[in-house]
Amino acid sequence: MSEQNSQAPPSSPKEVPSSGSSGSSTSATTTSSATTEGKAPLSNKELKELKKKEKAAKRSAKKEASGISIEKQQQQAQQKREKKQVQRDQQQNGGSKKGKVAVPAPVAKRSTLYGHLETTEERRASLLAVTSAISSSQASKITAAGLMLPSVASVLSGSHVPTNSAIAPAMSASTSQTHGLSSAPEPSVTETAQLLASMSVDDEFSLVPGTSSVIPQSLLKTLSFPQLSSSVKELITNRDLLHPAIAQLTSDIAGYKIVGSIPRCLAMLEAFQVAITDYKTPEGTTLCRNLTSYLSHQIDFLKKARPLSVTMGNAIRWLKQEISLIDLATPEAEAKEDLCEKIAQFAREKIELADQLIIENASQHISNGSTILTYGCSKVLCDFFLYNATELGKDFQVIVVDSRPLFEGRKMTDILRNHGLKVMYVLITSLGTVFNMHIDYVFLGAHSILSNGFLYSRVGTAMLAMSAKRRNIPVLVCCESLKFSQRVQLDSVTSNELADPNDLVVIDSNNPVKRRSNKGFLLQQFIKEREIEIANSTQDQKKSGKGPASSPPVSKTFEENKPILADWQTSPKLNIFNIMYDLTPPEYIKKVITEFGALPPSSVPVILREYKGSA
Amino acid sequence: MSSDINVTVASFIDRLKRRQIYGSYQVSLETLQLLKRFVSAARWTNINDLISQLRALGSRLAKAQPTEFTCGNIIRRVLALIRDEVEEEIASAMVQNNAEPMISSMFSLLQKPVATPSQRSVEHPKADIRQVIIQGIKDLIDEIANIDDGIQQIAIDLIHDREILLTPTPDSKTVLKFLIKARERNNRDFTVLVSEGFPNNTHVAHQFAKKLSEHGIETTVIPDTAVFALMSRVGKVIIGAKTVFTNGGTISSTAGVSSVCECAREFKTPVFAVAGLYKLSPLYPFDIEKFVEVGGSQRVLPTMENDRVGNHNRLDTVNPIADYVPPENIDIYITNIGGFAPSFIYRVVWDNYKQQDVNLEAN
Repeated sequence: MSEQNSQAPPSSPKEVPSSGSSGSSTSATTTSSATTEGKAPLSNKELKELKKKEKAAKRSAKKEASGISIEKQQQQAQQKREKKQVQRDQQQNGGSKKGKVAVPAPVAKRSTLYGHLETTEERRASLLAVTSAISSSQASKITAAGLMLPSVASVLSGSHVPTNSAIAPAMSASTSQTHGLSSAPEPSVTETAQLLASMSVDDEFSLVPGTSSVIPQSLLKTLSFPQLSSSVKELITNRDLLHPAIAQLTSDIAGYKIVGSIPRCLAMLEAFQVAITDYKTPEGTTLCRNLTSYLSHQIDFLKKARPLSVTMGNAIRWLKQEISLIDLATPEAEAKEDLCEKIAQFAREKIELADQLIIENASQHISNGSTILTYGCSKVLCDFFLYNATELGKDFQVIVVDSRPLFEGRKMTDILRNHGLKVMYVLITSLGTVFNMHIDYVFLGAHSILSNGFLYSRVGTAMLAMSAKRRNIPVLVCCESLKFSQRVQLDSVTSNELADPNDLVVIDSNNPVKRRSNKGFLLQQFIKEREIEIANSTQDQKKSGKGPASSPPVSKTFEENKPILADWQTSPKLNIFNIMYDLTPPEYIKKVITEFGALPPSSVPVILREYKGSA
Repeated sequence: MSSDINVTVASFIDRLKRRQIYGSYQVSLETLQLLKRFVSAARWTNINDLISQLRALGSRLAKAQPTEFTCGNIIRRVLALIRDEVEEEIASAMVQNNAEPMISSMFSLLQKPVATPSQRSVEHPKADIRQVIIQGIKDLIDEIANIDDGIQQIAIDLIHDREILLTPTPDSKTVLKFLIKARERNNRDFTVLVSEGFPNNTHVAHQFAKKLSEHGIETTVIPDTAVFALMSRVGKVIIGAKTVFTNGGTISSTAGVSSVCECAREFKTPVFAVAGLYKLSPLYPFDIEKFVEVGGSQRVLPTMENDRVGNHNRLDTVNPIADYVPPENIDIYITNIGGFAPSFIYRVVWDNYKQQDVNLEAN
């Protein structure tokens, strides 16, 4: 026990000799194993076996001693600050190996260009963790719950430690790592893990045999970031508070079913209305105090789908202020009704009426026979073109420029075409050709306008605006003042939203929403792991020499149809960069049309200042 | 002329039309092989006869694939070769007459023509000139086959360690070979961003990225939209040229390159184009739209939902396959004989071609 314990918090390399050569080899291979796991150093079967046993021992030791070892570890950490690097490496190794029961975990790639941005994978991992926690507690069968516990099952079949502890040690491995990295209280993360583990065990539906370990693996990756792990934990503990409307919205946003900052904001406001109507103030607090924190929980969850848009942020800020202004004396029902009313009014004022004003203002720019270029799909621009074509009866052509991977322009093209407008649909690569035509105006939508006048919009907008500016074509931006942001930013890459790089792997002209609809992320992951598992088992059988030699060729057609970059995650030098937005410098923009009138981009901070009170 | 060669020419033209031969490198080599056979099979009484036969062939090839300029370039170069030979002959024949040689450049206007002493016999036998032409064609084949080496020597000096390069033309073999050489032979460490060139070149781009990463080059695939966002980080933009015109403008074989170069110009990022000498064309791009090839729409818009519903409203689309980059957006051309500014390209062109061959159809 004591010997194991001394090894369990893997500290100094001096301690290894007694525990056998395998221990030293572990530490030796740590650095390389992250990339070339399971190849050269681990090829020896005996060594593997040894290590397995050792790990099992380690785990049990840890589990038992988790209460005591915390202080011990803390002491050690203080004493051996300089050895942290070694520790971390070792623990990472332990952690990643645990994850590698089924799948060679993707190399942790951090690009020098955009390594600071949160990847979709990280975001999705935490979302998955949370949703699975929620759904398992509600015993809803198939979704994540089915894929959650199975990890335990597969671990079991892989001749490992008993069910209950299967996840927990994995967690604690990464936990101690977090601990080594920061001074974050260790028990909290362990708690998270135990929480997850216990939940999955409770759930009878989750015992689907032979399924995979999606959640623990993605969790492992996520939990290596202390802030993330704590936020996940918080979300899980607060899962009972989550309103189903918000959960639905979160999944819609995460799946790009609702895109565009205005639609997202509207959907959120609607969901909030539902949530507020269903809300009941707990005993001992007042509505104006408790509702804010209740909504914060919803928002925290919503954030896991995609980062909040600026419109959403502004709306939330407004809503919180409204809540705080509610008189304590008002009865709850009345206050709730009042709030819902106010939200509806906000949506009407800030979006619907604002859009009408913008459309009226911008309509002067369209005349018969003009050609307008636009990019992507902006709700206000769509309404604007329709209004000019149907209400005002103008005859003009719209050129919709579109881009991979979201192909939002198709939506716009469809809508406009259905109303009989003359539409031309081009991709952004043909800009050179398109700008040879006669174009009168470029109209752009916005995600947000920053207070230094930069336009933050769908990636590709900047290139379009630049090309137009160079050809002296006026660039006009239609944008509600709700989209104005206090933030300043100079460079597109410093702060941005990373989309899923896998959307770029498949080369076709379908958008990812369609593609995902038939095979979800979880399912794909599961299939992948399953295939590898099968391949491994057949290999093992072959090695031992008694297995049947006729292992069916693993779906040849799948291999052939595989996109070229399908395994980009395992190749260390290959990266895919997929951002959502870019920044257009103000000098490319002739004017910004808002509900307050048309103004140059430099006037954005003025509007923010002057109308802050009324907002 | 034997029917045999006619069959060869016809099949070559068909393959060009069907795009079974594509890519300027492939086309140039095949054209040279064809010319070799054509010249050895051709019968002529007068050297001008051969020249007009070649011109006729050139215009046929140009009609077969109007945007494949390499065929024309190659034929013009062979023509220039023949004309040089003829010129030399005339010069030596008329050495006593003190005749005016053909004016090939402004310098010779001021110069008094120097009579070269005749060393060879005055009359060339026909077989001899045939030999000379075929030898010239063989030299050209050699030159084209070894073009990448020359380019690499010069281009390698233009990038530094840990630089971030962006290439919007993943289908250029020259760019690929250059990058791999720079990594392996010169051991430079750099990052390459590859833009996808959707919809026509995405497959190629992905393959390109994969190949680079397999050679240990840090590679990032970016969608075409992210070029502007990343341009501030990019050290240099490398493009592969498909055709270089006299004005220094270039046709690239991927759509979207002109936008990329524009971005680079906006950020003052240097753009260098790599091109073999055979890609220089004596044409002038007066009408860009004529030179930019347009492809089918199926890649842009596979099927629209509404088509099934029966929406008959007209929907236009355009899918250019190539792109024209104006000379002001390119900083330097790296050819196998050296680096040139776009404004100097015309001079290099007239070193290799003859004025009277620019228009192959005129007599």
